[in-house]
Amino acid sequence: MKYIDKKTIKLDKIPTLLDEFVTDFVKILQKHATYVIVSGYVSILFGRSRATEDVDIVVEKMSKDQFYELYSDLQKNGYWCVNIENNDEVLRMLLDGFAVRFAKKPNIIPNVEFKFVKNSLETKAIKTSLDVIMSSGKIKISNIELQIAYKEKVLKSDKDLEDARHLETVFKDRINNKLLEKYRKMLE
Amino acid sequence: MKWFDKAKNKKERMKFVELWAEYVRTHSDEEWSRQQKIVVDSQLKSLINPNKKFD
Repeated sequence: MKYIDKKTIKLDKIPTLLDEFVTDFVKILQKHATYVIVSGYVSILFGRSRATEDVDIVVEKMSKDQFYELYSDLQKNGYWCVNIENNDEVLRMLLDGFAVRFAKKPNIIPNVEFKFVKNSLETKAIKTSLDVIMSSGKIKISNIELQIAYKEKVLKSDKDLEDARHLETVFKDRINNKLLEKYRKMLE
Repeated sequence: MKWFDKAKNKKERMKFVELWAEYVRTHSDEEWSRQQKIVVDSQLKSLINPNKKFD
């Protein structure tokens, strides 16, 4: 792993099937929307030795037209919404604050848990995102300090605490400790 | 299960998480990712098709 600049990391990893799934989805998403990948996949991207069924992506709110262009592009590329059958319901669910899941047909997993920004923390995650460049493509992830604090103070399951410890150890020379403490206090 | 010490297991798991993360930190992306790929890909294949046996 190499920092190209403060907001860009180059990762020379051999991509997993999950990495390939994520970069394929993001190649379509980034043409239509501003997004950030959060939660478990961020730890897995940087080496955690576990898989996940879903990849959480937070997306800035989109107009109806923008969303349907994205949805059509996803469908053209073999994706389907696995938790809602009626196409018109997808946007309504998102606007009501629920997540919708997209997978590659005919699979249900792995899937992207796609949701619109709901609060200031998610807005912050988008605004302070990092770019990660891999051989399979470029993706945007939440900043590491916010991920660690969120997993420790909000999610708190054994798996999340392990994810947080993994990130804290891998990034121990790069973490902004003041920022991490600030997020920890804010989320307590 | 009286013989299963949950707290001890949790502590041991966390120790391994730290050990592996330290390995990731101090080795090339290629070295750690080659090993990670075996774990992640096999777990994912099992999730997608739980009844099939993979090599």
